[in-house]
Amino acid sequence: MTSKLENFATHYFLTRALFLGIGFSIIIGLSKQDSFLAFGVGTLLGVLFIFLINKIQKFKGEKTLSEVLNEMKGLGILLRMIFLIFGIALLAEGLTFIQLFASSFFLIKTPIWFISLPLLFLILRISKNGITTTFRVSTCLFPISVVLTLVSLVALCGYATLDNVKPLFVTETFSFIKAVFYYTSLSVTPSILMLVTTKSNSTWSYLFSSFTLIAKMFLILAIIGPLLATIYRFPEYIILKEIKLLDFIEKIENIVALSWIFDVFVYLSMSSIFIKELLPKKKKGLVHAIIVLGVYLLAFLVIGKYYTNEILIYFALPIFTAIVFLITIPILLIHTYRKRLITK
Amino acid sequence: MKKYLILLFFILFVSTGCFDYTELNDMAIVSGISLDYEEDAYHVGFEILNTISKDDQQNQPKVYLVEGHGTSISEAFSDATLEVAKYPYLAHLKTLIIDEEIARNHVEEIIDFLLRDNHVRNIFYLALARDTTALDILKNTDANNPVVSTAIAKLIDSNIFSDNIAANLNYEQFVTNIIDPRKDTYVSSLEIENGVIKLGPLAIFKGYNMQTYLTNEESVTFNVMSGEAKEMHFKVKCPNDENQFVILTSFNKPKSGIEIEEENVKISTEIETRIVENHCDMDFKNVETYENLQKEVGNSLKESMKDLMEKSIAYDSDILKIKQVYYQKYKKDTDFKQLNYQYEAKAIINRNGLVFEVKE
Repeated sequence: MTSKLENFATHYFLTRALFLGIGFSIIIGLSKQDSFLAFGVGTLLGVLFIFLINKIQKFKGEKTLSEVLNEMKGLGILLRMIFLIFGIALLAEGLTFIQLFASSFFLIKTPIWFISLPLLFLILRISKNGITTTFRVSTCLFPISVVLTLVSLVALCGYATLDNVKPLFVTETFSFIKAVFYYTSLSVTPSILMLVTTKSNSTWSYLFSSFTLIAKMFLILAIIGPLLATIYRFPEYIILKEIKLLDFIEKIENIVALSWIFDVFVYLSMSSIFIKELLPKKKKGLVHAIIVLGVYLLAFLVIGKYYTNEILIYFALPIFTAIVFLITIPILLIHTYRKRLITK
Repeated sequence: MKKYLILLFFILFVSTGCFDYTELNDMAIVSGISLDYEEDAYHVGFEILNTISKDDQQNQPKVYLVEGHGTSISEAFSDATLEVAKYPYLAHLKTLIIDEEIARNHVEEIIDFLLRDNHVRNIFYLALARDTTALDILKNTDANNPVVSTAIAKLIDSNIFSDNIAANLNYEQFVTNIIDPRKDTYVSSLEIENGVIKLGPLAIFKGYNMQTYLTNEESVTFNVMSGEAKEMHFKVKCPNDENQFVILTSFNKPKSGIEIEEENVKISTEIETRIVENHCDMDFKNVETYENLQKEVGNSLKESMKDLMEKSIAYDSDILKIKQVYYQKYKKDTDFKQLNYQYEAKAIINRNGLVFEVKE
């Protein structure tokens, strides 16, 4: 069982993880200067979905996700398969985008396959140790991430121009709804990974994480404007280049951007733990290692090799994750609720 | 334990960026870039900082220049790097100088190229070479300004706080303006006068194409109307002697604003001034004297604002972002040339210097 703080820290990272390279860029493209409003509305909508996950956590009590799925028999097998595909997809996405991000800004000459190799070893090691290690690592990284996020927010405030975000409410209704849906999907669906633990309540961590995302989105729009932000592949990183502290501390974007790396690292570890949780007990460790290694090979040999694949993930992931969420979570909720009634 | 040590060593080895490690001496730190377009080809110049240590340097120059040519910008950049046996490092770029031909017809290509390059930090200054080539500007080193790009950046920086003919915007802000169909942009220009680089007036754009230069006075007026100029000089003729004058200077940033009501645009500015030089025989202990001066300065500024706006309309260059202000209010686009303009300029003298008047 993990502590409240550990749950809070881990969920904080999970909520933010899919915004690196996907969330900000895709949503600015849809709702321009209204994007931070889309983030706000998406957060309110997201809280409702987080509430469903909280309920599942409450109803399933001390049972693990695997135990709950075993109770469901045939439907459980189907859900297990869907969750496995979901976990593998998130792992592949995380590895691909961390490679893309690192090779674009940090390790330009380093071969792509080499970039995520240390991550792969860390993920395997953490997965071997189990859920407690992942949650403790998250708790250690949490204050660093919060400080880095606050530094970037405070340092960038001075460069914001309100003119860039005016006028509001100019996006077409359909585009705005789409942006809200994308935000909700990208911020809420990684919370499914929290089902590997028990009795977690993710509402406050979700709200806190969303606040950092909304603030970051507002600054992106207010500093470079929605048009330039649409052009950039990683607008969330580009604005960090502006940071100049006390008129002499500059070029610290790579340090501040570490908070994004932490997000993805925790997200990858959690995806790996999630996959392991869903695997059959027999030779679990070996099968898990093979899957993670396979996903790593897939990420740099297939997905990361062609930019077209990244574009495909970029547009398809929010839809895919939303479908998985909408299929699995209601079924799990109904099942755990009924089980609880029967037990009572 | 052994396997963890091996793992730790491996992680340290691969995650510390050894592949991307470059010795400082192996880097060609590009401080300035010039870009000219002649005979259907781009001509690029890199001003590279000399990284040889002080002991070895002796009397070597602080920078050296390499040039490249090509039918595309990337070709020209690659050609320039052929002359350098080092890795060109663009993250320290201070100034990019372009020639008039580029400013008139090829800005879009440059923006595309530089935004795609992940090494470039977009917070350098962009300047336009007026009546000369960008390369000539970059070559114009002297003992006082051994690194031209840095000297230009300082020139623009300091000008923002003094004479205010320069543009207070970096490359990223320039791009933000230029890609927005509701804004037109402007850029500082550079001239060579008697072998010395000096700041010229602003060049104004319509979309991606440069249209014309403002005059020095218009550039200052523009900065006042944008609320950026900190210092503007006014020469007011003496009421009793046409040949004599009093000089007033504004200080602090002006309070400027644009208000739009349907088809009517009101552009207003309020500046605080002080008397810096007096050649008139006036009673400076009399309130009326100051009121008259304030009125004169206000009228003069109003005329300048009107002239600038007329020029802006004549060249279809919306540098004051009227279209954006209109869109912000009415959420629909308009042709800024068709609107009716009113100007309001108010000058306040709130400092007189240390004396009323020198003569008794």
